[in-house]
Amino acid sequence: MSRYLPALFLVLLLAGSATAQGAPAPPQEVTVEDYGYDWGGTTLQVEWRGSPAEQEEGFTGYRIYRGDTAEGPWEAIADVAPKPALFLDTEAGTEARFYRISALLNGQESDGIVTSGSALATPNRFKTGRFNSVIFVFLFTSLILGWIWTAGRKIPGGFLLGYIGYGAVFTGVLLFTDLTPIWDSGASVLLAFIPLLIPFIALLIPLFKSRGDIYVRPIPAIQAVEEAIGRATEMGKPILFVPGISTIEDVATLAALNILSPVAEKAAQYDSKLIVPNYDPIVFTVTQEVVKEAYLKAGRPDAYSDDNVFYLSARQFAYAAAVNGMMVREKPATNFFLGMFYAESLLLAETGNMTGAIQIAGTDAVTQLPFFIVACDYTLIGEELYAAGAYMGGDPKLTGGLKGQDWNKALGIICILVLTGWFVFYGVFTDPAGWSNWIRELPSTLFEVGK
Amino acid sequence: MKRSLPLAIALVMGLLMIGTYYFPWMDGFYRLVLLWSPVIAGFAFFLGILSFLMHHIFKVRRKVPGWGYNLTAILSFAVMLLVGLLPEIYPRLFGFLGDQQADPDASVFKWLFGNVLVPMEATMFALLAFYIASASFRAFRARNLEATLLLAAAILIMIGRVPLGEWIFPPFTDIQQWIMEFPNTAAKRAIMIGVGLGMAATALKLMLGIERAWIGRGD
Repeated sequence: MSRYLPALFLVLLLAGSATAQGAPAPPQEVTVEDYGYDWGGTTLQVEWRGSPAEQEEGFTGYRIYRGDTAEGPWEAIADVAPKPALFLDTEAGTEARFYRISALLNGQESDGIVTSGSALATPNRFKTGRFNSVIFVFLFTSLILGWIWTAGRKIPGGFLLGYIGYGAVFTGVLLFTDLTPIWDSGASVLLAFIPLLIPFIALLIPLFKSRGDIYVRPIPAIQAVEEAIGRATEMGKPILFVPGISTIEDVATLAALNILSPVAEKAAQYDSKLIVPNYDPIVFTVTQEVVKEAYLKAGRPDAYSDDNVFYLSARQFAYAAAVNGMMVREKPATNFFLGMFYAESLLLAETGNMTGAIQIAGTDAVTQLPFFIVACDYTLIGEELYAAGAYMGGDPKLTGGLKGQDWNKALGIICILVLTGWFVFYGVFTDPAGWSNWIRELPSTLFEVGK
Repeated sequence: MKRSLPLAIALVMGLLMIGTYYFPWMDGFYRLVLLWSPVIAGFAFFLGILSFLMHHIFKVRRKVPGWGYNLTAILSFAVMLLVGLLPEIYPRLFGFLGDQQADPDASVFKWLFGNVLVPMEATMFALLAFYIASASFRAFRARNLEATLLLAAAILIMIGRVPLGEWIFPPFTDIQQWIMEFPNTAAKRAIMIGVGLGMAATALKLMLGIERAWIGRGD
């Protein structure tokens, strides 16, 4: 028995150390403020910096207490997970509230409980955290709308008035918001934009006046559409159009439908069979209408058949299997894969490649683009998918929209360069030693990523 | 009217949905719209099923090549519909297998789903490995400078991502990580910024009725 005593002692020691772990350290810096996104005005947002005990095994989260005064009494209102270190108290009411937070480790609460200051929930007319995006929306839409409405014609008289009115509406919306929280939140520099909104619009007008015809960079994939449809006609084989496997809310799906319309019109003119299998039932009803309208516009309503635009399945791989089967059996001469795709992209594109079809693909799913680029003859990369509709439609307003989009991109590039330059010089002037160290260490930083 | 009404609905709903993003007092409207969408989807599903059946029945009746697949699709649909629906109407129908509603193991519908559909979908997904191999073989042929660069980057990434690569030459891991974190991320972000702007511009054009292909291009 005696030889087992040391082992027994060790086991008891380990067990003792496990139970005598003690209470966890409390979280730090508990803050509370009005939640800036509610109209009811009864929600407070509590945030804290995590306890060091979060790394330990058995850490379950935090217990939130609410009180009417800094001394209590305290009411436990919720146990929350460690992340995110944020809690929304939707039942804070309209009185000032205090909060205490304790950490929970193996069912034990932290000793030192940290208490927040007080805060009062107030109703918000505007979601204050989204103030920045109003400014962005204004800049963005000003450029796009300006180019759209002045495209292909002289600037109409009412345009100037309407355009300045647009700036006034935005200014009004911003003034309607309660600006105090924005002023307090450190985003106050953005408030300077408000008086600049209308002058900004006035500055843009000469831009629209001075341009000539709108040039749109040729996109090889779009230029190949007619050739691809012609090829199918010559070979007497069908055209397959896959509008992606997303829903109608997805802009990529809508962009695909914008391309489907002219493709269907061309197919009708050339008397080629167009097959459109659908994944989503709502998209199916829309594609059916789009193709029907296109055949009508081409003067061939008799050539349209409901049997060629149909619903298949809302299961990703069942859909892919069915479309692959169609490609193998019917051997379409031309395949279009346009819209949003996921893992089935390569299954579809590679099967089409094996059947020898000419393939035109386009998606804004960055992860699927390499597959399409590899397996298809032409690929619309990202925003080219959205531009294709404008390119094929030939409407000056649509091409004007493209121009506005490009101007926005140019502005974005300028902002990135200016801000990068500003940060570099700010760093050089405010912390020359740190900056020179950073430059000296740059090579090792670049080649020691992730260490 | 046929076109102006949908365009007006698109504009009004677009503006209202933008409003819900900025104004807390419109949150209730946002929740209401979320409730509407499954109702609309329900009607669309009915049309979808109708289209599915018409399409396959048409092919079976005409005995087009491969009509056996169409027949299989119709039969599969009918079987799943029956085993899903009938136990709800006649709870004792498959009673000898257990409680169809309460016990997932006894449900014929769930059994067919888990033992037929899921493995078939997994099979399709597994095919991806072979498709990637054939696509990579085509992509990595060094025909020009760009393709050669792609090949070199791919080799570095592949070697750096397997333990053997680190064993051969330890910096391979860092090199592949650098390629993924810097040039790759920069290219992806450039595409994503363009996509974001394109999305917003397309949404604006749809709302204003300038882009109207979705309701037909005619006036």
